[in-house]
Amino acid sequence: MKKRRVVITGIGVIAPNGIGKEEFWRANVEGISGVDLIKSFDVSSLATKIAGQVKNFDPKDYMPEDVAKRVDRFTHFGIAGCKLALEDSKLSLQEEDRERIGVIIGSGLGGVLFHEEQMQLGYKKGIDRLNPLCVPRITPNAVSAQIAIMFKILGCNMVISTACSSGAIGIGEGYRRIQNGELDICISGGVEAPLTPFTFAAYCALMVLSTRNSAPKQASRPFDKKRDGFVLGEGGGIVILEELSHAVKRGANIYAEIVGYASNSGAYHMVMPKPDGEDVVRVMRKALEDGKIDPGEVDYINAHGTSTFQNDRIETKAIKEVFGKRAYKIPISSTKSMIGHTIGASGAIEAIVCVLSIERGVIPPTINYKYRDPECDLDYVPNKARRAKVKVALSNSFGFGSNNATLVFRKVEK
Amino acid sequence: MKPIKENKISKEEVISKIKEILSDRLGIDIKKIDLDSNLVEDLGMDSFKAVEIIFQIKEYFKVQIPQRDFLSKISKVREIVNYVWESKRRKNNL
Repeated sequence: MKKRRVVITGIGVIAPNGIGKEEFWRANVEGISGVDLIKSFDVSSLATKIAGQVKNFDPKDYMPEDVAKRVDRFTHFGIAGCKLALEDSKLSLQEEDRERIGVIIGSGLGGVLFHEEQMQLGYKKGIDRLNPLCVPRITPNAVSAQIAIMFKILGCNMVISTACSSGAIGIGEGYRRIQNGELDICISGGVEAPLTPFTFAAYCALMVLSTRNSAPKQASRPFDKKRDGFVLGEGGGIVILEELSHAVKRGANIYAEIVGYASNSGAYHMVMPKPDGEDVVRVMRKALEDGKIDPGEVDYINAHGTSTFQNDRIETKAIKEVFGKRAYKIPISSTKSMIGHTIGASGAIEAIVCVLSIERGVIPPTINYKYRDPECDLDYVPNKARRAKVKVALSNSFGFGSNNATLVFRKVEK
Repeated sequence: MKPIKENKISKEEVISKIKEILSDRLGIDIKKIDLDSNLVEDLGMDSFKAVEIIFQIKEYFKVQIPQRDFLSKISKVREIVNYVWESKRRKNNL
């Protein structure tokens, strides 16, 4: 049976360096970082004091007040991203068969903000004082559930939790369900709101975060020799996935087609990437095969590029193995240099970067690239965006627990 | 929301606080809530929102209204006020 084709027809993004696709894209092209000192809670005792925080975001601009005050921040990002993406797609949901629409969102952590507040209250004042909304606010699937309730989505309604690859897998699984005929439309993406005292301190304790507190905007420096860890970020990326003929029939604006997706496991370690990167090689190859794309066709790679010592050198090694000599000629960038690492949102936000680079013919840079690492010697599009025809773009996402995902996007010729 | 410190509270304060809680949890303009408003028919309360309201009342007044009473015996704002007021009075007399 011929597989159905899946295209992206709507984009909604809430990121530390911009809200909405235009502001976000401008920041990425101009190399603007969204990383700052943390002000929302006391970080004086922690080694890291910086993060990519979403600014000027009022949930009430995107949802009724009674919803805004009953859901956690990660759900705020999901609903807001969904509203922006639906508006962008110009879909009129009331004309659609709602059972053929699904919602699949990635989130690594769920509602940790409210969870922490209630834990503190419970310990201090007694566990009989917990708020009745604890369960529905904290549960990770609150985000897909609230979207489904608000927009009356009657197909699947689920959250994928695979740490830093959640957003990519959220999109990948939506793509599969449309491809195999289960859905015609899927609201897909990823969200995360990890900038809370306990969760932030937990990442600090793991010693994976940059401590370049004196220069927050230079702290996330993927592939640079002086990189010292990632910068935690928050946000959301939501896309509207649609079956090609459905999109064409209603005259939708098509950003790009998803042509390949794969997820796999390295079965190696909860935190460390596999040293030889064979799992990363396999996942890229599998995604290219899924889309019947030859490695020679890839024009742009949006790397996982976290700015940790291990990830960036192993990802570089794996790219060389998959693309051979051509690896040196493919522009590769890590937009985490500007956004920070938004965990469960990152794969979705970076998918949006790929799709916009295809639509607009511009590749965003890896900022803060200054000192060359002999183990990272590819073209990372240092510091300045580049004009380029991008027909095929590939996005990598790797999650804690040895799980990987790759998405491949292609321009749809009109 | 800070709970009240002592048991001495006027009935007017009980009324205004309960209206405040209802307005906040039900998303209704406080001016539109009066003592004869029907919680379900006029204010749109459902059983889940009732749980939130019971929780807020317990937090503020230290008065626990059992959920079955709230749903079966109480239908108007005035009846919540009376329930809380009577409980507070009983506590003060003891």
